[in-house]
Amino acid sequence: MILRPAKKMLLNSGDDGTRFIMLVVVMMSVLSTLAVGGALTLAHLRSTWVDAVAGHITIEIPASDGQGLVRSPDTLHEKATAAYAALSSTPGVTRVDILDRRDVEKLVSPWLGEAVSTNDMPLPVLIGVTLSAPNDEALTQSIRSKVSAIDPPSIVETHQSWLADLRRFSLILLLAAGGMATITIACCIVAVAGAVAARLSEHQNDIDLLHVMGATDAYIGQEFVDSVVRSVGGAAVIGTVLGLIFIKIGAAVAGEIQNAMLPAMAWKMADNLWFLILPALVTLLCYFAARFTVLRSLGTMP
Amino acid sequence: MNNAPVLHVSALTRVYEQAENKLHVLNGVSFTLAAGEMVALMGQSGSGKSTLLQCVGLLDTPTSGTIEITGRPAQSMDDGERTALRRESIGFVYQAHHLLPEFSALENVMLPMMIAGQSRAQAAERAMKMLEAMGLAPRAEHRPARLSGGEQQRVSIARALANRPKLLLADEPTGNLDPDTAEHVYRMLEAIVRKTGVAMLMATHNPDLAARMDRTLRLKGGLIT
Ligand SMILES: Nc1ncnc2c1ncn2[C@@H]1O[C@H](COP(=O)(O)OP(=O)(O)OP(=O)(O)O)[C@@H](O)[C@H]1O
Ligand SMILES: [Mg+2]
Repeated sequence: MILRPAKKMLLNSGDDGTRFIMLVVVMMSVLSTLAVGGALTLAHLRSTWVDAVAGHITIEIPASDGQGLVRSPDTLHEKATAAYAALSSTPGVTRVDILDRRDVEKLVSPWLGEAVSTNDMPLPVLIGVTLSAPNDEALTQSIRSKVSAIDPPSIVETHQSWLADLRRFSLILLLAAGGMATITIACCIVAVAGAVAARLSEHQNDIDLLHVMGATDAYIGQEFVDSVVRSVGGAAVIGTVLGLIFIKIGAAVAGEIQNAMLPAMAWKMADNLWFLILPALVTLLCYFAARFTVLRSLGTMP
Repeated sequence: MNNAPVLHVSALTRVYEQAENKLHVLNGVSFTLAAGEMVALMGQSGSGKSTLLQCVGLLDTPTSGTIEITGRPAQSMDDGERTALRRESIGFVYQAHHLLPEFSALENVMLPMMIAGQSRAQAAERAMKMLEAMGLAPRAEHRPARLSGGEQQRVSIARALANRPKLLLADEPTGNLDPDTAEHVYRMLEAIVRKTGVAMLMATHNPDLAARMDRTLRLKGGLIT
């Protein structure tokens, strides 16, 4: 072990100050871990939702024709059968399902209530189409023209506007989570730089004396920075681990609630890298902040 | 062998600029110090003794003039070279408060050696020997706050000599001590100069001490008179 005057200054005197900074870094790391965890979960949900919708097209063969005349169930059935045949033989279409009158009744009855009989109600026929590749514009276009050739009033719904809304909404949430992580990390940096500056001015006399003894700015600075990196690094790791524990607890609680809207909280293996990168990033940024502060203050010292 | 004098100062000036007015503290100071010489630096308070010592010790940059230490001109060096020259060739003893409070006496003496790159073991061994020579062996593990003024000053001297400097600069090293302790510290410095051949420049207000040294430089109006 070598004698490290600056380290001793930094850690021995004003132990409360060091503990305070460690605490700030721990708390900020917990917050940024939660933010990143939230962002990852959200990104996961987003792609799950998008995948669930993106490869699907719904075709509605309306109950009435373009002029508002109600068409007979037989006519609708005939159109649906023709559309089914045409779509089934289209390359790139993996599945076609016709939701006939009974299925559609089942779909709409919860909204109408028991009292209302759907028997005489003009109901459309719905056709669900699953594509092998989502977002295949050419295929979508060819389906549109085929359907319109069979039955001009039919509507081909690709859920694009709903998807766009989902994308926009989840992007805003992602940006918010990212912003939160950034701000907490920035808080860390500011706190560490401030603590280093305070400690330096507290030890102005000692630093002057080290200069007298022939220590260079680099030598003094390096010792301060080394000890900052050690304490901040430790605190960042502790904070990240705590944050992960909170996330695990949160996931367990969410699992109990069993919200059908939320698929598993799990993220991919590769996403775990974030939780290695996070403390390393905090430490690295604090290292540069400390280094900058130290060298700048030493440079301005007489 | 290097035949250059330990210290050669020529036409040294130091002007402090404060807002509008300029304070000319040193106005062209020249002198030479040979190895083994013990020289007093006298002058009224504010005459610039400390300023001159800071410049000569390469801690302050003179406005103009040259300083050569063992023949090496400091004004043409960059910061790193000046720091290295100070580390290798110059020791400082101040009036007071110049030990690191969080380190033991032994560690304070070890520091300059460790900064110069020696191993902890080497530094500890030499530091202990130096403290023994100063009669401070039993105090080695004590922090400065638990040492008397005279003891602290002896630790400072040991630290100043740790890297075997060629030049020892002392700024009123006995100024804060009672007469007996001051005498003790002075004798110790004298013995060190005589034994090691270090050149010493000591700022002092004490004419009796000055009279006992090899010669006296008097600062007045920024010049040596
Ligand atoms: N950093 C500085 N900025 C401006 N003026 C300074 C600075 N350092 C010293 N001075 C001025 O330079 C003059 C010389 O100061 P210096 O400390 O060298 O005197 P001194 O001879 O050591 O005095 P003393 O015997 O009281 O120690 C003083 O007038 C002082 O106010
Ligand atoms: Mg002075």
